[in-house]
Amino acid sequence: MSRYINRWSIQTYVWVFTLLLPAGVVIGYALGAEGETLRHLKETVLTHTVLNTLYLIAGTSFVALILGVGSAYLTTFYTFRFEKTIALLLAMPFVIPAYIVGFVYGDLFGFFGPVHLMLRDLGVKEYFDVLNFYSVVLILGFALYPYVYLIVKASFSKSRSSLLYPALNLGAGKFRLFWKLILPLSRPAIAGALTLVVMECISEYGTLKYYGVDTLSTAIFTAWFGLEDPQSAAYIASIATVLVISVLIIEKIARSGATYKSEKLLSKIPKERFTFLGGIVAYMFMGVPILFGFLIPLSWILTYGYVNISQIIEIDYLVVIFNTFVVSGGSAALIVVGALLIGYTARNFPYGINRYLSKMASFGYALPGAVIAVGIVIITTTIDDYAGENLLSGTLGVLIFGFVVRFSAVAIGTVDGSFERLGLSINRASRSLGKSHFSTLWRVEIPLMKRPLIFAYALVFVDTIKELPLTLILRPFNYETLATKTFEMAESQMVYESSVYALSIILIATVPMVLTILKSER
Amino acid sequence: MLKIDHLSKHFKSKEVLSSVSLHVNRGEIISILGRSGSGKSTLLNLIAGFERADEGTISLEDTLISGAGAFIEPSKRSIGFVFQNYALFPHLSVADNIAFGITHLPKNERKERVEKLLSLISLEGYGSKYPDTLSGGEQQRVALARVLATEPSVILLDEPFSNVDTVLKTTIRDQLLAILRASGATALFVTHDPHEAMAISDRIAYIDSGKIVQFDTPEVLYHSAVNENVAAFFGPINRYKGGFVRVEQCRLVEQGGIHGEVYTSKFMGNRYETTVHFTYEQESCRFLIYTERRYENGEKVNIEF
Repeated sequence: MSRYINRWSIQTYVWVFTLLLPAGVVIGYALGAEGETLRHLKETVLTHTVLNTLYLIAGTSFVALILGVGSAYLTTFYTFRFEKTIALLLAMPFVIPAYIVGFVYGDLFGFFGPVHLMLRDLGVKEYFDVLNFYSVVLILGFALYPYVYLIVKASFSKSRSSLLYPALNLGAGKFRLFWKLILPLSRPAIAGALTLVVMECISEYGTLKYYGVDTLSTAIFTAWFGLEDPQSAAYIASIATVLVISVLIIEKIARSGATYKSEKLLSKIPKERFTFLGGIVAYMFMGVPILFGFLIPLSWILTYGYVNISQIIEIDYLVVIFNTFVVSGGSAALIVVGALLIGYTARNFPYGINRYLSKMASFGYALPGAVIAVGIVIITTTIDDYAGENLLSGTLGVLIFGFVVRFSAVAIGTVDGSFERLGLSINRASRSLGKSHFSTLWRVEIPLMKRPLIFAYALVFVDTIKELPLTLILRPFNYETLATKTFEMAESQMVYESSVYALSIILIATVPMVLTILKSER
Repeated sequence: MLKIDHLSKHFKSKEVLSSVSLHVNRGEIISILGRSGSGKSTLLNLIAGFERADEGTISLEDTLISGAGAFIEPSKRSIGFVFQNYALFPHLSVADNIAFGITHLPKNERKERVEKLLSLISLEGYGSKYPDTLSGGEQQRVALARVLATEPSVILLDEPFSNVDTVLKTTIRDQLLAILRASGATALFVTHDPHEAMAISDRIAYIDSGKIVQFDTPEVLYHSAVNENVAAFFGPINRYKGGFVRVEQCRLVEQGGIHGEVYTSKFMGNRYETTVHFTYEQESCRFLIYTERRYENGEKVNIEF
């Protein structure tokens, strides 16, 4: 296929290779790992952290599955008062990063928190320590179930009425119908959504650190910052990578055989009303995740954010906001440009390896931020050692590179989709009228894709703002972003003061959420 | 002036085009006619340079544009392409669409050419409109004007009338053809409609399973098709042992001919369609014959062809 090699393909290969480099380095480094610490690691931390990670995955997936599928079912097949508002509220926990939810409950249930104060007023003397594994499972479950809810709901509402009506006609009850028909048909969607939940569990750092639970992700930090042992960190990171790859393979198997294409909805599925008792149960079922995943954390943050509002005119806050916008804005721009490059090559030269470029470049999204960070630090220190001076380490460029590796997938999906909708003939028309590939992209396709490109930019922007572990490892010395500032203040007993920063993250995260809703309603 | 020699193209293991050769003269209008999946659109894409041939050469005005190590990008081929869905740029006005390929010209000259083309396609005053406000036929004329603006050596048109309302098809076709003839362009149409092909082209290339079966004038293809398939594609035929004959060349006569028996006779408006059974060269045949009156079932008749 060498005759298809051209400038576009080569540029894209370089870009994709660069994106894959950190993961490759981690694995390569780990393969060469030996030594005392490593043996110590195997004997002590490793078994414990791997098991903890697996338990965390199992527990969180269970909670997210029940909450997500349950609320998707209720909002798709029933009609009720405040249906639209509730459907929206169920998606809202998305905008609050899990670690912020974690800090809120840590405070609410803390020794001097309102829950224990109330209990003591009631004469209960015991102290329930919530800083444990089970709390983390619940917090992550409540923070991550929107993945399942949104994806599965989309799949439910695409259920083919051409199948549903005959089944109803044959006398299948609503509930049986759900178990026997709708749920199996939605298996690929559920598998996809759970995969995202699992990835987030593997990647999670902030909540775990705060609640004192050790997983692979926190172990990377311990090896890195605590033991100052990059080789061990890389080794743990490579185990996390293997875990991620296994999850991807399991997802592939879970999806296999289920290649039903969702057809366009022929007519809307008839929605039912609740019975009185059923209604109470349903409202409670949907109320729990809304209350604990969104309303309580939000109220807490709003309350203390209001109390500490004067902070926003302090220079500290302004610097953090500025830093965040520089690094996230820059990363998002690079990511969108890269996605355009990959999308254009994959679509216009769909030969050989080019068809897999999008998949390859998206791999970073599956990897925990800490793993990518470790890979990048190995690369930068190697280059700096070779150069004999500090060229890269601790620069802003390194942090931006980390974001690009981790979040490219977010833009690639959107950009590929909009290229596909654009069709090939527009591109070909422009080129047969004498315009080069670049000129076609610049003058015809980018103007026509403006809206999805802005959307992709916003999505990436928010994801980078929320990202904590990668930022903690790769940021320049003393360079604070909203995520690191929130985390560090909360960790150093300044949890009330951190609310202003947390609130800023939530406000920014709400923007693309609103954009998505507006887009789907148009 | 467009010379295609031994062009082949595979997709995976499937051979889509096999050793296709086609020579087109200046100013000719050619149809590439075939069923869907015959490879006709692939041939057009290879000529335009949107895809690359596995073997064979394409040359235009004695310049090799594809094959034997050469590959000229679509943007440098001087080949215009009118797409099935017109592919107008929705974010540009009609005038900007037409001027898209001639941005290298000075502004005055560009404006002049756009005005001239707008009048050629009878859309004077439409320059500032946007494509989505035009009818299908108007969009198509703009797409053609956009191509004509660059004064290409050859214009390729991919199923240009497939999205057009059947009622308006003839009018739109005649308009388009008149514009093409007036511009003196060399053009290649891809179509699956034999009547359309006959109506518009100087010559027709009939393509089947990636091979050009016959390449000649419409008359020759209709009357002297090289095989049954080609003949049947253009209109109904009657088959008999060792040959075939067009339905309208068969008739019932008072005397002579072959003796046969009427099976059915149906009134079809402008004629009767009568089916006749008979034996020819020891084989039983069934012929469709256009007649001027209804025949009784079982009536004895004489067939001549």
